[in-house]
Amino acid sequence: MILCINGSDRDQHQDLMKAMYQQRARVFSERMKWDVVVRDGMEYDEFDEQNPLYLISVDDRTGRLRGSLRLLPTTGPNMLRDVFPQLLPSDQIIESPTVWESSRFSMDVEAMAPLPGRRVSYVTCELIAGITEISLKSGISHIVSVFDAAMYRVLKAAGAGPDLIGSGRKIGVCMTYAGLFEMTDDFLNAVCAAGGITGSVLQPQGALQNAAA
Amino acid sequence: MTFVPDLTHAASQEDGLFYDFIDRFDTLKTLPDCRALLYEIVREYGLSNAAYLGVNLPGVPRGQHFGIVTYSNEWVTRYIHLNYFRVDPVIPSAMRSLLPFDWSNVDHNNLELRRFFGEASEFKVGLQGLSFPIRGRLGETALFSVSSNLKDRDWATFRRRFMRDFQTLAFYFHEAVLRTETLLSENDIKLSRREVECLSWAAAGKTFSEIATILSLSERTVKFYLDVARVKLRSTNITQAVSKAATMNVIRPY
Repeated sequence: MILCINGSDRDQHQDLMKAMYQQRARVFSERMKWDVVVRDGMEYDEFDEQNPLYLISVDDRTGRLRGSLRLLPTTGPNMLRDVFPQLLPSDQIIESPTVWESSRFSMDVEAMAPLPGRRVSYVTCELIAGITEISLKSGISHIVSVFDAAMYRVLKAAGAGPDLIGSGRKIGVCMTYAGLFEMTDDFLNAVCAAGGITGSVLQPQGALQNAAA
Repeated sequence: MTFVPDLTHAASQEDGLFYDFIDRFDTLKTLPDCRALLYEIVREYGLSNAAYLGVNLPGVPRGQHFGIVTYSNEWVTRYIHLNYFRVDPVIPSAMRSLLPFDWSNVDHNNLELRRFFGEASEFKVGLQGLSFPIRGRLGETALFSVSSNLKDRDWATFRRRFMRDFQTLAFYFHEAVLRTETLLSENDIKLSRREVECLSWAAAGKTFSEIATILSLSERTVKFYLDVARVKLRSTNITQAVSKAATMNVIRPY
């Protein structure tokens, strides 16, 4: 199940937020060797201060964190503009109220393993389906995101292959790319089929009601 | 080159309407132009009202709101007189949200709120509403709201059909308000020392990377200062910002 939490409401979800920052430290600092700042075992940056929307995958029964990502509109501060502009052709600016950025897509290694007979893990598909459901309800036409080569293969296997923009660069130990995902019903159906997902992945109550109702 | 998303989603008969509005934004020069366009959005989309509220706009003192609304003067007067900012639950809830905020999600369950919404309905604000939080490039925030008297089912259909239109119109409206000169008189434009330095070197024909070297800053920081200055100077590009700064005598020649 995917929970949607506005950054401004983070104090109401302190344990989950802490678990997410710790997981991000494991994923981005230890595993991917990105140059991120880890404090007290937690990774967070200035974009967490910009009131992003967090999508958090939790186990339906235990409520434990499985994976997460954050969304920011490209009209305000965002990573592609402010941190990774080298991934875009030199004069390209992505700034549109209907294009949002997904960043810090993360899960632990165990959650990356596909179930038998599947090519992509459930949590991967669940997170992508969550973004897509929210986008379709909120008037977001595209998601732009930065990802590494391994993730690119996973995305293609999930039926969610993006259009690459610009050329890749080596960041940390990984070749890193920027890509654009068009948010459509077909895209959602492909991702759900790849993950064996039926029905909505979003938690029925909470932040989403803002857009869904 | 700014990325232009594919907007072919819109229902075909409304496409023309949406694109007409998009084209119009460039022609808005003054706040009355913006206000007139807001009324046209209400009319053409068959809304009850529309409202724009800027919260931390550059040049507007902190804590001071900046609004353009189509509500009746009676309602606006009453709202301000009775300090309904204190009561109205939509604004703080929508401001905390990133996604479009439907007014039906606020709690109507106490007496004060029931009276507030009752009055709002008497003054024909619209029973249904949707507020679009806007995040600007300088970190400023604003809210663009549309309201309607459609029945629940028709409202749901209307929202699905026009969500992306309003998401886009909301942001363009915000940009148009920032661009208009009258919001901020030129005497009020305050550029920081770094912004003045960057603009001055840009005026002298230096590139971003040359300015970065001269001022011992990163190129990204230079771009940032110039971009902030550009918005403060209500300019669409750096060249225009430089020439405007020059005519205002805020930059010094090197």
